[in-house]
Amino acid sequence: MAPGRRISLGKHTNEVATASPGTVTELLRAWSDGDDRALERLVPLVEAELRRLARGYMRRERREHTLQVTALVNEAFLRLTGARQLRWQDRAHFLGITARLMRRVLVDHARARGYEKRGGGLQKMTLDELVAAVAPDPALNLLDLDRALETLATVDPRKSQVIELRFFGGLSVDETAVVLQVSADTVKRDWRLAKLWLLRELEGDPK
Amino acid sequence: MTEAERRQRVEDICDDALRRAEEDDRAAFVVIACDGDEGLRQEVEALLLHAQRADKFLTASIGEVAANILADHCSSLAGRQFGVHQMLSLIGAGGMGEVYRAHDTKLNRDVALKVLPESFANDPDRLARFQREAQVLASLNHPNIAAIYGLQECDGVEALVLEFVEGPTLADRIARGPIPLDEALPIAKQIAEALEAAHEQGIIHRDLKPANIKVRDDGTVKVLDFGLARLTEPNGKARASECVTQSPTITSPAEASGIGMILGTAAYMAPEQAKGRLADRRSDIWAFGCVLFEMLTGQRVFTGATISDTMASVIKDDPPWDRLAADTPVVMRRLLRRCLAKEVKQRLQAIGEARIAIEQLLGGAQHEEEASGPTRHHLRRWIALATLLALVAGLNAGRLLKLNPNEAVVWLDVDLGLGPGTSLSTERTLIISPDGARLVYLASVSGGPPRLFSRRLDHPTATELQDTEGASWPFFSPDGQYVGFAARGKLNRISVDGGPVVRLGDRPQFLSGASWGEDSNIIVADRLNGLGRIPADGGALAPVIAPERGRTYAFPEILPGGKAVLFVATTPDGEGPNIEVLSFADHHRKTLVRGATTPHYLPSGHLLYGDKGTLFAVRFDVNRLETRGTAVPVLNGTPPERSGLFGFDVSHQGTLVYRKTGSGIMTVQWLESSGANKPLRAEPGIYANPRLSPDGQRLALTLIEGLRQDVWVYDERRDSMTRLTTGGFYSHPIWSPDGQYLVFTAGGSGMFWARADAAGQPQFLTLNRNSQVPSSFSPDGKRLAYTEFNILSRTNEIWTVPVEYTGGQLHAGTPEPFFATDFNAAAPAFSPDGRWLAYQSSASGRFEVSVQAFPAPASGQGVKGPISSRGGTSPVWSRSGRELLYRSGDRIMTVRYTEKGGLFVAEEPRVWAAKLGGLAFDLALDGKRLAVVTPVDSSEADRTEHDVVFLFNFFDYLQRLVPSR
Repeated sequence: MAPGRRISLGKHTNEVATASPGTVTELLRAWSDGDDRALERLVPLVEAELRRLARGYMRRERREHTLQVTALVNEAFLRLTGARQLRWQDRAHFLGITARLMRRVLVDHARARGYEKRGGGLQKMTLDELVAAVAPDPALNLLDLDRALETLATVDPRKSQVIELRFFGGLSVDETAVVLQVSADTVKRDWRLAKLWLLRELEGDPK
Repeated sequence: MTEAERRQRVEDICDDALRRAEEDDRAAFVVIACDGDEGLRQEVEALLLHAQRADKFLTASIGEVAANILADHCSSLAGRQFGVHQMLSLIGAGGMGEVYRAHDTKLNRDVALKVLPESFANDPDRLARFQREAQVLASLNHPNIAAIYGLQECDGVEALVLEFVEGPTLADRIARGPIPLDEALPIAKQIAEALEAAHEQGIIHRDLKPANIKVRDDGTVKVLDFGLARLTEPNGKARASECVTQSPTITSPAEASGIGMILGTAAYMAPEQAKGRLADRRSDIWAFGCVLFEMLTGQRVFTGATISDTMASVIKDDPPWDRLAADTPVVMRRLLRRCLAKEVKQRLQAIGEARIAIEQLLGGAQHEEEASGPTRHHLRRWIALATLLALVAGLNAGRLLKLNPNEAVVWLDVDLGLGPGTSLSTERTLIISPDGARLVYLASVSGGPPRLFSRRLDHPTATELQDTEGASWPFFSPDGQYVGFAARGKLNRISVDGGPVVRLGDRPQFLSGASWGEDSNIIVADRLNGLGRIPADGGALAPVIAPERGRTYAFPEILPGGKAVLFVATTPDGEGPNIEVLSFADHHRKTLVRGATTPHYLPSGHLLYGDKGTLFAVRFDVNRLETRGTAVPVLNGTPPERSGLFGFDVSHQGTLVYRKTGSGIMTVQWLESSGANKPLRAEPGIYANPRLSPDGQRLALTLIEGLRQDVWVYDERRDSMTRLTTGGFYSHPIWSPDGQYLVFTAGGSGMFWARADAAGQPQFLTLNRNSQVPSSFSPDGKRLAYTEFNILSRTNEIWTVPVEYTGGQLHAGTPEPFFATDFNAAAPAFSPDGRWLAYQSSASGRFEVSVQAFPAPASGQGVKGPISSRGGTSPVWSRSGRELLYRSGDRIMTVRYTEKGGLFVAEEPRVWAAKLGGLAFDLALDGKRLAVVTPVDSSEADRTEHDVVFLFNFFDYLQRLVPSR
């Protein structure tokens, strides 16, 4: 065998994907208690599990329901923790976590695949197609949206949360209202105005 | 106003404005609401500018989108960490997945990562096999072979780790134009060396093409993706189409999508691969030839607009040799010719030979020789194609949509275009000439006897071959100029263009097939009397296989060269039918396939035969007379089987033809004269000779299974079938008047009898080499009328024999001829009072029904007949009234009769049932309904009975299913 050539037929497995169920429960608790570093460690675990679930979901040819993010994330948590049922402080808490996680997972996914660099040719694919579907400007990408939301959060945190819950969490107006403990009308108004604000932020003033 | 208050004000105005539907209205509102505050107005309008787009913004169903993105792991891994590898960029995509350039952070080198499709990761068996084979490939170590380092898994994604080779591919290089010989030779030499090293380790590339050969700046050639084609096959085997669409190899991004990539693979596929056989090292040699040719000419050897066009070109076309530069050395020309020989055995056998030739050329050692001229092969192919097109043009085609001569197999349903009142006969009726240019078939006009028709496929109409009435068992001469057939007790031949019928000799009594050999001998099979040989110019029948009691024979087919004959036989202990082969030289005989019938040897090296409703093909070594490998079903359910006979024929150039008929499967139905019917025995089968018991409760019949036929009794009330015989050669049961026992035909052994309750074995009643078919008991049960085939006169005769049932045994006395006649009397039936005997005879040239007093008066008088007028067979007396029924074509007629002064007086026949829709029948006790053996799909058969199905290029189809070479 030529020097320097290694035959490595064994499987290399990413170590994060093998965290124990206990770890995940622990991380969830820590995060709920306000430890943001726990979220950092949680996201890759959840992402890996979500990918497995998503693949299974996409393989099923006939789907009876459209996929709810909350169901997807709940399933991921159940699998990760090995629990039959997850005990949350309350449903609102779970919904909030779900939306935050999904946002982080998708954004990390985009970031990991080098979407920062524009004009990546073949690399620019699905995610931009997504944004093209949800935003008027096809050049818009998920990372820009994430940054705009961060900015919005500094000016008007509730509007940023409304977007996060409704878009990334897939929550209804009423669910969002429950999580944020405001009226449904407020959620609707925030939703309308936040979208205008984001679009201005993303597309800039035409002047 | 604070910043917060100002923002609140902006939002309020925006929100109010958004509620106003009309934009003009909205603009006016904003102006008023801002009340001259220009800054405020600008801020509000900057937001409202996006109002229209905002409606659809962020409204996608994130669940679906997220699932899509997350599931789509292969779409782009660039920038990610993948185990020890940092993914750098996507460098290509093939049918197998995407290929990335990645950096191995441990070994600090760049590698190519080929991401495997998800189907691998989800199939442990496939993955395990992949790993094993990848290990073998990883052992390949050659400077001209891009190495396979191993497999890497990360997050459920599997990737092959490959040596990363910089530089353009040979395809990129060729795209710039032909490569001069002196540059091409070193490249070719390195490719040959790579193949040589791999072949020595038993590894085949399987997908060599310019797109996976890299040429580095320093001139080093690296062949990529050795053996990967095989790795991607689901179970180690793949059909040609799959090989093409799943090409695993890297393609340049420009070609990465769509048809370009697929064509790029098909163009280098060897003919045997295109035909679906597994590749071996000689397939690589073919591809090497293609690459070499392409380097020198700048163009692909084989091209086509579609995959099938390209593959057809690979299989059929000669390479465009004239594209080679005039000064191309003869050594090179010869090398190319040998690499691109279509026939694997004619091709260069070892790539080392190519390397040596190239080294010769590099060393300047050139032996100028004459280049050979255009090949005959080309011409032959062209003729074959022209023939096909001529066929197609001439046919009265029902469906032409599927026709594409480039496709491997072409199905064609054709209406033969018979005139009104003409119908195809039911037995083996359709044969195709060896050259595939002519059909001969049996058809009858207006219910008359069958005649032969000949149809050149490039002519619009068929010609009736005169003087062939009553023909059966047609077969072609080897040159396709004559048709042999049986008629009027003789074996005959006639030119396919018509002309005099030449008598060759006597028709074997139970003719069951004939085959005309190249040595001008015809082998005939007699079901009960073995095989015989008769000269094609006429002469006596000489035995080839002597009859043996209990054995039956059918469907001979002389093999090419005339040294052996295939045939079908059953054994005395009831085994079979089996396909056997007899070698003429040493008279050695052996069984080839058990439980099979209707063998055809095909020049493609296959034996085609039928078994239980399905056609099978198996490789056949015609020299050793042995089958090879496993038989594979080729056409399930078609063509239809009838009495163990699969009604199809195959020409020597690969056209299979069969009649689209019903399945041959039948039920037994009750039919009333009104036409109403209901099932009597609904269980499908192949039935014949239905006979109702005297009490009307049971039905005796013959059940045909393959070549075997036995007598059964069906009890309608219990829905039970009781088998009376097991020998496989019994038929034509009739009931004794007391319903205690039945008498039936025992092949060529006379008549047997058995108890109706199946107690005890069948025993002989008469022993006779002539065929004896029992037909009717006298009402007192003391006399039996039957039909005997007289071998000397070659006609049917009616006989009666006294019988006595004593001590539980049936004994026969001395038979007496009932009606000495030379015109083929048969099917005698005693009247209910036993004083008359009805029968059919062909004194007038066709069968009519007559009635005669019984016993026949010495005066010879008392014959009444014929009582039918337009043909009549199968007379049956009503037991409830003074009526006699008979069959006329597909109608059942009835005749009322009276007796006056000892004379039989018949009225005019009337129609009893306008449409029998069946084959054989018996009349119920009440005279109101018939038990009819009815084809399951008789209505279907009516509609399609003139339809003939052609399969062109059948050999290619077979080759893909059952590779024979």
